[in-house]
Amino acid sequence: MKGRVISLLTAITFAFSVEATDTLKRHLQEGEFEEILLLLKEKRAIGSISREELIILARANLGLGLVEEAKEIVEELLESNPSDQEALLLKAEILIEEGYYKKAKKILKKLPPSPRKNYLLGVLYLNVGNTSLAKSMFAMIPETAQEKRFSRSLLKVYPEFTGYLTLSAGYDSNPTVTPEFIAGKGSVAYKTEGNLTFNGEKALIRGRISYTGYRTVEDFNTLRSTLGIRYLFGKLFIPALVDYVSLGGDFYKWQGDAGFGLFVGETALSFKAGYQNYYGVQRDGPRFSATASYLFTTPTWFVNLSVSLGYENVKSADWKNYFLYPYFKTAYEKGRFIADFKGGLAFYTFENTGGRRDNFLILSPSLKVKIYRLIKGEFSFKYSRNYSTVEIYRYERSEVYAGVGGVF
Amino acid sequence: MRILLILLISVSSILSVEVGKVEDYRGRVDLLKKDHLKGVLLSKSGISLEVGDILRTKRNGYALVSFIDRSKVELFEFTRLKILGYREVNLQRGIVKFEVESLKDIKGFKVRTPHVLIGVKGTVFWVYVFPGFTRIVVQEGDVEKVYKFSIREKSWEQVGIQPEVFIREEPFSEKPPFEAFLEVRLQ
Repeated sequence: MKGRVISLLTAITFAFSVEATDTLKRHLQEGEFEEILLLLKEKRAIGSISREELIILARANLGLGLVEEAKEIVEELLESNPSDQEALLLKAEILIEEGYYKKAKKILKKLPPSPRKNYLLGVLYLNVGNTSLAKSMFAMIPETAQEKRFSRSLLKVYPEFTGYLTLSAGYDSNPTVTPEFIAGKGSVAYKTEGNLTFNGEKALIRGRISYTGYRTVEDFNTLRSTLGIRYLFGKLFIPALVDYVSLGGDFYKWQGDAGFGLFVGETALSFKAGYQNYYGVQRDGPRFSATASYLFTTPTWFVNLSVSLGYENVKSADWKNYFLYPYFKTAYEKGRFIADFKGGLAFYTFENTGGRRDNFLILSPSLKVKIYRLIKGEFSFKYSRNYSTVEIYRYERSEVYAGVGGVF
Repeated sequence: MRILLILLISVSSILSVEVGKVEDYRGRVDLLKKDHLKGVLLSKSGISLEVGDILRTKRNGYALVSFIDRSKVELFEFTRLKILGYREVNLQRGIVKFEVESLKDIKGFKVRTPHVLIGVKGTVFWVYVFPGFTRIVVQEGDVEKVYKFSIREKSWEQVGIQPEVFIREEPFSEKPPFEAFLEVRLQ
């Protein structure tokens, strides 16, 4: 009884305060939800509460985990004004809290841009495992908004640096690739691969280096390193990729691409320009490509579909190459097992080469089994085949590896 | 010592006894005592915590709490932690790191969130609470894993898969070198 009288008196006194709303907003920012309830519950009961105060009360209820109370207020607000943006933001937040992501997304997409909208969309994407899109939403929140700090806290759930090392042994049916050169000569192969990822707030940097040694065709021992960067500016991003391959020390090639990209809904579009350089052969020149990539994720599986259109112009060799490259990758995690499957088809047209056309196919399933702590057993198979109108360029290749990998 | 702890567990939920204290804090942190209407900003370390108390960190706030069993809890900014009992807390929102002491014959440490109840024995783990999900990252004591709990599905899922979005196996990265290599070798 005494508590009720105190809170009623507090509410009445508060109702006449000119700084009332500012105080409530400060309490909300500071997470002092109990104080808000103390000030507004009685005020609501006596019917003198404003729309703005109702929204603050609903947010305080939600902050305290009182979802049903928050829902009731939101319904009340939407009944009087179905397009009340603050109420719709709250409704979306409640739907996220309850796991109804599609419904929440539908509401949020219709609302005008605001820090809260971007924050909630980011949380939504984070909840379904699409970290890159979540980060792009968070990147659009201005530094001054409180949601920026919340978003930074959320991203701390992912480690900034992750290293992964794999050692494996296997068999390659055709490491020399072209049957005409060393016809179908297979070899036992040993492979080591290291991956290092930096997963920052705006930058994602992934480096990969691998070395494959062949027992019978040492000239084809392969060193490959790749560095990929993506830097976010809200919905825009800068993609860059550098790839270096050398075979047995006699041959190397590198290529570098950089450009710009943007997220359109859940699809990432990118446009890149680059240069390729081949040691020993005249195949140096500029390259251009455009890629559309769609990523569908849940925390335990994802599908990434992409299509690239590209063009290489090699003046020194007097030919041009157009290519189309659809690619997909999917993975599923269940208990101790992670199964993934990736594959692509590429179509090439070479000009000034007597009408040469190539169709390239790559399929690669793999299975990882968690053995102990962060150590996994890995089994992979890769099949690649090139169909060409010119016989010398036709080849088939199968690679099978078993190994062990672990986080370091 | 063990008998004393068992006794404390039994009485902590019904009596106002100290179950831990704020060892250290930085920035603005306040304590809302049980049955109080307003929180009071901390002005010194060593404040004792009782059942029903709520510790709230503000922007840039941080607090280190030690429990009687020597378990340690670190609260980062914008976090609300309610003491429900000896070895039992309710994390309403925010990020908290738990270092839980394992004690024989004594039940594990319980963490409630708006979405889930987590019970642990002797481990270091982080709990993140944000709209829709609670995530737990186990750092020591078991495998380093990230779990999430879905209210709707009412189930735990391990969060592990992160897609490689932008580094792909590209045929034009693989095919031409070998093709070019052939040209070199045939010359």
